[in-house]
Amino acid sequence: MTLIQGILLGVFIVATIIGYFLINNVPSLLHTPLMSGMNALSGITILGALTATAIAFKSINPVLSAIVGGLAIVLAMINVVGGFVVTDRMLCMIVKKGGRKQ
Amino acid sequence: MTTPLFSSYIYYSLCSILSIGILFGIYLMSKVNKSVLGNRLSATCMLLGIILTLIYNQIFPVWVLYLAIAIGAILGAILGIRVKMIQMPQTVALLNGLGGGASAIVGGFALLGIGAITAPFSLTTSALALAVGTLTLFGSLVAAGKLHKILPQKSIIFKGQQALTIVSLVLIATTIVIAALGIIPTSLMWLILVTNILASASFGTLFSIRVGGADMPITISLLNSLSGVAGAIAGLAISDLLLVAVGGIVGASGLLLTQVMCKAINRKLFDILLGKTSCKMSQTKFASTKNSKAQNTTASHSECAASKAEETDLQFENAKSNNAPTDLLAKNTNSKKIESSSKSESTSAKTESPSVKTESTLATNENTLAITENIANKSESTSTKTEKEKTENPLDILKKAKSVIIVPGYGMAIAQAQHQVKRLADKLIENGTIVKYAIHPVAGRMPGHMNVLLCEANVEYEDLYEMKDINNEFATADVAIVVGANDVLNPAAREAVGTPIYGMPVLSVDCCKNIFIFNYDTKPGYAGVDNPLYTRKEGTYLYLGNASETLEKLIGAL
Repeated sequence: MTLIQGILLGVFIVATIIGYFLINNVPSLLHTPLMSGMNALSGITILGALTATAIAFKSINPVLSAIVGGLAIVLAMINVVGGFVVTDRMLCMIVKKGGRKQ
Repeated sequence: MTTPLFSSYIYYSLCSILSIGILFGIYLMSKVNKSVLGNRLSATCMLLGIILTLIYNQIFPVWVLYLAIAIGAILGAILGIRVKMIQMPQTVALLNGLGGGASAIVGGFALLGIGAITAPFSLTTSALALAVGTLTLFGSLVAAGKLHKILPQKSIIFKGQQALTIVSLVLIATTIVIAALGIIPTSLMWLILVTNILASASFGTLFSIRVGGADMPITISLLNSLSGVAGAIAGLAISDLLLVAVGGIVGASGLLLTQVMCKAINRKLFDILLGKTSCKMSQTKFASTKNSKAQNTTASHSECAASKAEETDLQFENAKSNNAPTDLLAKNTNSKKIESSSKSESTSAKTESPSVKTESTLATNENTLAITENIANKSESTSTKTEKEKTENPLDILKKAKSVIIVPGYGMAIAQAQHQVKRLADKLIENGTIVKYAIHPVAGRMPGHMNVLLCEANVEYEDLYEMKDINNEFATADVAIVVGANDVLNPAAREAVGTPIYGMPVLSVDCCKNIFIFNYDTKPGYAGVDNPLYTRKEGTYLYLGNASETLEKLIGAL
């Protein structure tokens, strides 16, 4: 294990701990939007898909890697964009209703 | 890789800033007023992360990437804009699966040495990412299919399922270990890849198909967490800092959300993982619990509900049944038989209690009630005397009510009745009634789903109460109005040992004097357990049928 991998593991552990304590006591009103927002964030894997596809495309079998890697990017991108749009719609609705009362 | 445009120090600093931005975004999203901002902040950070990756890895000239990004973004936007609020659970499940699938592909690339070095560390993590990603993909797809009613919604259990699950798990573990040891030449790595994918796919499917009932929301939340974990592990495999950080955050907070929900319905996450979710009880056990259930209802009923005037409309009369209890139970277990066998009973009910006036909304009620009456009877008619007061119109009860608690469930969503619910509430408020909404943590098919739907119908979220905050008020409230909810208020959860909902905290609707139930039918809910509230002798008013229509009638009558 190299130094960089050690750092990565450390980041993973710290991020996990922070994430765990971050959303304590969320009102249940926000559970659905929070879940779909988090869902959108899990599409961060797009970064990996981009890098891997680019490398694969340049090196070995360009057609196959374009198809498989492209699929990964498309899937991740649907996840990201769809997730954020849906979350935004829900939150706008909730906040608008909440604000009018005040 | 060529030398980066800027040093890795700058890259890592930027990654850290973006990670903190996303963390802050999630934090803001847990506050109602700042949540929109939080979501947009996270989205912006993500966009910057994509740009940063393109620049740092010097892959921005590769045109294929942009094509794929464009296709994905357009599809995602279309999906995001067109989806209805009621379809949210399956949408989240589907999107989630796609993210898992993408992580799996990244893991697969890394396993073949693309984007990662072939060292034990990255081989282990890439095999792991492949496994977690694939099982997330298939698990989510099955869950989405169930929620969208493409697949049967009941929990599916077949012989040898357990064995098959274990075999899949062992296969996954084996492939990961073999990959980690690096004893296989790179040319044969595809063998590991395929085995891993097949085993994970089978595990994910097996895991998801046996989930039913109140565990569905938890499963979705868990899969959500898993897709984050898959991303983080893929990040470890290809040494991508941002991927690791964000994936870790999503995974952990998803897990916490899952646990919050588990606590709310009094289940252990581990049990759900092991699949102790479904009806495992035998028929005999079921019958016996049913017996005790019926008795307990009467007990709890006389305990907490003040005896009120008996009702003419759709009430449970004390017709003496000639049926043997066992006979009855058998009938009730199979609710389809109700109609065929009920005619004789309903006539007997009528002759023996001539006071039955049926201003009923739907003709079918009579038949169903005839059966349910019998059950109520069998369980002892202790409170008969109290019923002999006066007859009162349910409308009067509703008009006189000072406080009303509305209990919405998934049925409300299906009937699209949230707007009628809101109008009914408005009408009551005009009369000076205090109206509150009681939201069970797992009402609907995903946590918080009811809140979103009611918000869509302009219900103020200050009127929405969580279970723990409102449960004591049922005893003092005048009327509880149940709209399309069943399992979350089923008193059987307290005593029916061995059923899927046993031990789940439920809304104490049974403590309320008057209960108006707007359900489609009296069949058991998603969890498959009969609700003894339907057979309660007094103070229960059933309005069966499409909730938006039955509610409309009531509003009209008011």
